[in-house]
Amino acid sequence: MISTLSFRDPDGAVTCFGDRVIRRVAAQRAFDLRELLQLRSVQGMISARRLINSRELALREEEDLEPRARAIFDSFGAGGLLLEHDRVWFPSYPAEWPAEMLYAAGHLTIDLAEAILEEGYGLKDATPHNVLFRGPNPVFIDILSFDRRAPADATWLPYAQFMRMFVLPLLLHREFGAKTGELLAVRTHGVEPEEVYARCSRAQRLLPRFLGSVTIPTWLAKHCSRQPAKQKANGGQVDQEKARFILAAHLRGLRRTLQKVEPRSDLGKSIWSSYSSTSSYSAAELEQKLQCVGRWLKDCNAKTVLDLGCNSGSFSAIAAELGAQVVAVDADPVVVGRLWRQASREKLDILPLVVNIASPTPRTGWRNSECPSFLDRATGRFDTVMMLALIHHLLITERIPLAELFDLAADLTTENLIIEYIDPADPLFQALLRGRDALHATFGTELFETTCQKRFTILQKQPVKGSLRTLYLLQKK
Amino acid sequence: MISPLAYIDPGSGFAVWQAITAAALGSIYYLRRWFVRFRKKRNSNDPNA
Repeated sequence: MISTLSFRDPDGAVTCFGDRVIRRVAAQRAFDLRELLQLRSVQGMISARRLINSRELALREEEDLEPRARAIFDSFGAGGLLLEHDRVWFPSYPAEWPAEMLYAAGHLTIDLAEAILEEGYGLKDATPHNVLFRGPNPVFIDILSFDRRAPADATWLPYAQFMRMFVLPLLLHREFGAKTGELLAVRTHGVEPEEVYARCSRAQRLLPRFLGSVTIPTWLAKHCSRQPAKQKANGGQVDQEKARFILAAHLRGLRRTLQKVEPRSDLGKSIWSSYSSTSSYSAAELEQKLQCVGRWLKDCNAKTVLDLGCNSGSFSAIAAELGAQVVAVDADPVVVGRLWRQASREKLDILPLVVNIASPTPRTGWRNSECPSFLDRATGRFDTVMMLALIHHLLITERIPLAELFDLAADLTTENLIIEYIDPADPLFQALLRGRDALHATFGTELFETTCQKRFTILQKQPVKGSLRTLYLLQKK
Repeated sequence: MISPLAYIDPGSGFAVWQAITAAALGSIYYLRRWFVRFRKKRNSNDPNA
């Protein structure tokens, strides 16, 4: 299967051929890019897995590419080069990240900009779309963002973009509780300072964390010409040493600005952030569940796990500790953010994403084909899917028919499904029903097992003693 | 080379703010350079240095 992953940059395009990710670089950039990839600082970033690895394809390898691939690349004209990049196993997009991951991506961008400054290179853009995550760790993927900078130019071109796409969404999150994923889902160019200015009180506008990021740029913008201004990016021509000094100071200042909007770990209580202490499980019941799921994951030799409705991520952590690559999703950005912190701290291979499985991330971008949907990316990618303490929410709150739930699970998994059945007499089930009992009058063990067996075989079932819940291990038919 | 011509968004306060801070940093740069030179000169003139 061939899919074009990026095409907006006239200097090159990235195309995916099956599991291979290949970038075509136009002739005018080939020399600089070859030189860039040899720089010690760049090699260091690649070794540290913070910058995507890139391997130039030899001529005979180019000739081995299938004709359709060669036709795409030949459209860039003669010369140039082909680079093959390591494939990031599960791509994700800023709309799916909690604030913590956006913050980490921002820091990576600044780190890279500083690392290449002394080498005479700069970044020409600073968007979170340049970053993907391997587990909890950010990796910069767009090497065409690097370019030689004019030695005497003291301007950091992507400054405004960095502010709009990293700093201001994080400032809105920290000060007003905005969800960065939702902001970046609809604002592809980020948040303008005028928008934040309008939300602030007069006193807030004068606070240090707003003054340089919001207030002054807004005041200055009002005095700028209304006509599109064509201005030299190297309008600030100074001597080279001075230019480096100014740029380095700007980047340090940006780092401090970013640190001021760091998402707070104590910020944000949400509906689900205290679930582990308010759920209907006792400690003993939870321990049973953990033991059972752990045993099944081990027996199935789960290598790629999708945890739907992960909440605190306890089960994702078990899967990761057993050596699986895990994608853990939940609709609540607070819990996803906390799981990211845990995964980073404990070096667990968990990629936590903010996704409401009842309305997952759609296809977006130009012609709805630049960023594939969550389901496009997830279908058939996992050998094990977990749906623990989830189905009653989908059945009752989202009113998804039971058969549809199993159809979704069958699409997502290639082998196993670990799912939790909740009896209608369970207190939380009853709490969700809130008088709509008639809608789910027929729901029970028999209906559950009959429906699941249309797509799955029941391998094992384990009642959670002391509760009205049963765990099922199912195998896809 | 990064293109020398860039369209600045109409009303881009960030661009102007960056230019202002760059001017301030440039002044700091010159001040620091002058101070380093002054200290070198003073040390070379001081017979006890």
